[in-house]
Amino acid sequence: MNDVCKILILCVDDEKCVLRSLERLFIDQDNYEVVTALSASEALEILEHQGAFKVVISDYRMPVMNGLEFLKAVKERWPETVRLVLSGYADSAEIQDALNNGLIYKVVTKPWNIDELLATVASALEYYDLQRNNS
Amino acid sequence: MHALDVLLKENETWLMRRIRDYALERDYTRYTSTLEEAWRVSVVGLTDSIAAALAISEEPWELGPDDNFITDPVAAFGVLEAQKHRSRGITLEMFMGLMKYYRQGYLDLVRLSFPPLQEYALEDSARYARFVERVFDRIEIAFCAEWSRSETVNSAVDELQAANRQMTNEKNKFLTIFESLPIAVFVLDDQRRIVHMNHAGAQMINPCATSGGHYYSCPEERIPFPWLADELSQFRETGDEKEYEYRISQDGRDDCWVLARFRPMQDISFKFAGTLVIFKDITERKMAEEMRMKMSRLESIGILAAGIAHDYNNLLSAIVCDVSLAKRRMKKDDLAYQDLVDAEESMQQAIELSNRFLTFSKGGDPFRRPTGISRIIKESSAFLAAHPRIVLKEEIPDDIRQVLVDERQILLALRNLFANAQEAMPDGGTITVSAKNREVGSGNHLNLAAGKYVEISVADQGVGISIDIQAKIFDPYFTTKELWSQKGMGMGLAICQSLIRKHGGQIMVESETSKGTAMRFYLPAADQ
Repeated sequence: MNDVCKILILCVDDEKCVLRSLERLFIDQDNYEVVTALSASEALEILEHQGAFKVVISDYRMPVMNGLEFLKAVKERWPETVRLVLSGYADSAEIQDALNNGLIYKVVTKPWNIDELLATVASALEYYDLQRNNS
Repeated sequence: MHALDVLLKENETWLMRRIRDYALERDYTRYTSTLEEAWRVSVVGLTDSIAAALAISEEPWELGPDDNFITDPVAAFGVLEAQKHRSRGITLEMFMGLMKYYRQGYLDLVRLSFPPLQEYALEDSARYARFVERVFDRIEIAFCAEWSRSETVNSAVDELQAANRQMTNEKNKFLTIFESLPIAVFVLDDQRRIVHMNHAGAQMINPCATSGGHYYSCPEERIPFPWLADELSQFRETGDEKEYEYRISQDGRDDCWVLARFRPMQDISFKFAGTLVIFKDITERKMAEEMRMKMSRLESIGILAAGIAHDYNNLLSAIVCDVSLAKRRMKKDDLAYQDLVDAEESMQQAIELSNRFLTFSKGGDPFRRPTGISRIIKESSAFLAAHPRIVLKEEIPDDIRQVLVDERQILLALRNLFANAQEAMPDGGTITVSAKNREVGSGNHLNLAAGKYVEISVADQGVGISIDIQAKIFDPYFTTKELWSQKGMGMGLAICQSLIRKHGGQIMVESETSKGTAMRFYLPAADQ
């Protein structure tokens, strides 16, 4: 029963240790199930197979396709999925632009504070539900 | 009145015509008037001279070695005419020639007026002719004497002095121009010693040199030319008019850079007469160029630092998260709990350091847009124009794809490659830059993602890189150049590799010792 209600979160980062940390962080949270991907293309493949995720957390700086390019693709295909960026460059002009034009919901800076990240994810899920109810 | 005198005066008009006809026949009229009246003045003058002679003596006035012809009353007319004609620019030869026909005219009159059949007449005719001859002789000698007298010499000296003054003025004018030139000019003899040099040149030899000092002091010992000995010898042998960029060290002053040009000087028979050496000061340009390269390198290092900062920050993120989680899952009275608290504190400092790094290197991430590669090539190679011995050959097809790059970063990478190519050929040569469209399949040896690429190659004709060194050239701090000189810090290729890999590209080297080096790299095409 629990399994059915699990909240799927997709984490994308080209650094394995970052993904492992995120997995461990969400392990304590009963309702969350974390899926990880090492690149944008891998993440898009997972999305294609496993259907809609409620939240996607992506690193910004990745080779080949960066976080914003990836989230743009996500927005086009799965517009309801709430998009978060986890980045060391939180104040870069591109990320600020993405925030302003609604491409991303929020940015969390690296290194993150675990409480802050959990709170941001919780607020992203609320936002997801709100969107759902309104439509 | 003497019979001869009467004869001449009665036949004045006949004489005028006779002499004019001779002048016409012999073509002297090109320089005289053909009007009869114009001839009367001279005929009257000559007839008066003969009358004056007759007044002194009826016997022909013979010539003597000590006669003073200039003050001779008979010759007075000749002296006057000499002065008049000379000042009009008539030559002595022309004047004397015409005088002979005046004499002929007078003698004709004497001969025709005394028919030879009558005995007494023959005697008179011969005596009168002789008289006329002597008078003309006196006039002509006086005339020549006057022409060659001191006044003539004086005027020749005057003329020479005037010409001399003009030449000196000209010389001074050009000496002033020569001395005022901002470029240094030297004239060297066959032993590379300085024959002439202008003020700018003298100041390079001796900073205290005064303008015109070398010219007017006429040093007895020629100073040996202190620079470019090998190049000058080569120039003497081959005659090739090359240009050299040359750094001149000066005692107590900053070094300066010059563009040296050699020109041969030959005398009119094309024999070696010296070598002209011209120095143009290019210090400012060299400084600007060095500064630009330094800035490029600094910027490149900044980008490299940004990459490192990012990776460092990523790892730190994981550690911070893990430690925080571990601490949270532990009971506060656990022995290790305090350790984790301490670790968190240290990490706080590490986070601050990391933030400082990221702020410093902000923008290090490539911001990729579809960009035309030929424009980047043009811009990054523009500095080569300042190197006259470097020829840049571009081989870029019209259908070359756009690349997906951060223009500024690829510009830096290419500028590094062009700078290396230029520095590999200190004596000049050709740098060939080419671009080709490429398709790469999966599992390629370059570790590139499958897709469309543009391959760019920068090839020089320099000394090349030996095989054992080729593996090391992308290592940071590896350099073949003077260590820590202004030229390089061993970061150029490390930075190029870092920049190109960040774009999802790859760079490789192909080189053969003494044949040159080609750096090739792949950049992903904008349209896949």
